[in-house]
Amino acid sequence: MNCDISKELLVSYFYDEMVDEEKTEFENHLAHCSTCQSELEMLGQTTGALKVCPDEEPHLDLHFIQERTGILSVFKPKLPTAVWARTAFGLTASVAVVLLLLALVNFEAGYSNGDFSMRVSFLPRPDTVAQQTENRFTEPVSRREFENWKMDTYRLIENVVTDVEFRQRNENQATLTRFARDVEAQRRQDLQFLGRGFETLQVSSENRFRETDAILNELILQARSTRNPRSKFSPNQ
Amino acid sequence: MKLTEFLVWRNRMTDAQLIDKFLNGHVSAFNTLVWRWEKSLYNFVLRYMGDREEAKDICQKSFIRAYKKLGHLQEPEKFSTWLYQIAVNICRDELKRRKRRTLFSLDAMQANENGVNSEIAALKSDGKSNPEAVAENRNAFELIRKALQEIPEEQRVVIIMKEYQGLKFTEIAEVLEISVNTTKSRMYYGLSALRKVFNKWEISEEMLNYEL
Ligand SMILES: [Zn+2]
Repeated sequence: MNCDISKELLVSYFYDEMVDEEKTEFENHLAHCSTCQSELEMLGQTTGALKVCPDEEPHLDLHFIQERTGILSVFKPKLPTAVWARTAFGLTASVAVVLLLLALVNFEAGYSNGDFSMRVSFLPRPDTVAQQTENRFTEPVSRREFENWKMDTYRLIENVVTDVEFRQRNENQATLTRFARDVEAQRRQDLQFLGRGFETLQVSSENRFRETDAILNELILQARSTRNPRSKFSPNQ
Repeated sequence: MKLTEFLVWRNRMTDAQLIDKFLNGHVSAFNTLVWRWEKSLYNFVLRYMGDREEAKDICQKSFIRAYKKLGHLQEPEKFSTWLYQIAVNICRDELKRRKRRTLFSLDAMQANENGVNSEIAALKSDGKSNPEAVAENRNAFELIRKALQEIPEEQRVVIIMKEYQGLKFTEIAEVLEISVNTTKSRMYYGLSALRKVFNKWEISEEMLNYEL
């Protein structure tokens, strides 16, 4: 039997990408066309074999960061970016060297309670010796591990940011308190100074008053003694 | 907002919304696009090129090129189509380069042939003697990957997009900038060619299915 069905139609039917009328028409033909039946069988077998090839996890290690990097970018994974692409080889090599060195010296960085801790040593920390026998830098990192690591990094950044904000707020408050205390102290000092000034003034004026008083008394006495003998106690009486 | 909440929220955004964010200076929106598309793009390129390292390299190049040219993308809602186009172009350049390199290298062709033969031998015996290999299902899909490399590139790319990316013929035609009818005929002839490769290597469907 001669078959005039095109390969395109056959494929459309196989993948069910046909409009309804086309489909009915083709199915009528298919019912008594052995060529098309065997063709469809061939398509089914071949595509069936393709199904044994499952998806794999990509490990692209691709992370884009702002070109004008801020201090926070330091905490982001050191991975290729658009900027890096231009000088990809050199940079990749140098990063690899840095990572290798860091791996060699057991670099550890942490952040807690507002303090960065960094630890560089040629010896592994005693309590981690057991875990470090299998070198994690040479092991392939799973997608999940990478995601976890990425989340850890973000969490670290988040902690740093919130902590810095918190510390900033506290610091402002502390500065204000300190300023207020300073002003208060200054005021008290001024008052003391003024107070002491008044005291001195008081004492000195009092002294001066006493002196003046004494002088006046003396003068009065003098004046009395020179006048009275003549008027009251005259020798002629 | 907690960072995790932020990431979830961002993941719900459409490609076009993310692109809009990115073009407004939020580089991290592009990372969401990478996370969203890297797996399908990587597997597409891996089947197209047949080599993991090369696939990884091409995916990185594709995303970097997309990153640089995103501002020129006319229809942001068609980001994935555009991304596939970029990847296909890079793959084709790479294939040309590869062809030039191996054109006169009979040794390389011979080595490839031997590799395939040992793979087939392993596949034939593994079913019975090596349960570990069966569990890993490794030989079977290495073989499929090699078989895909045996058919013409323009047919292979259609088969991969159809069978693994699940694209409609109209979508494939759009990515490859060819007519829908051409897409369908390449699909047909590609599958026929693949069938012939399987026959030549004496791979039966049962043999592959045994591994599943
Ligand atoms: Zn027919």
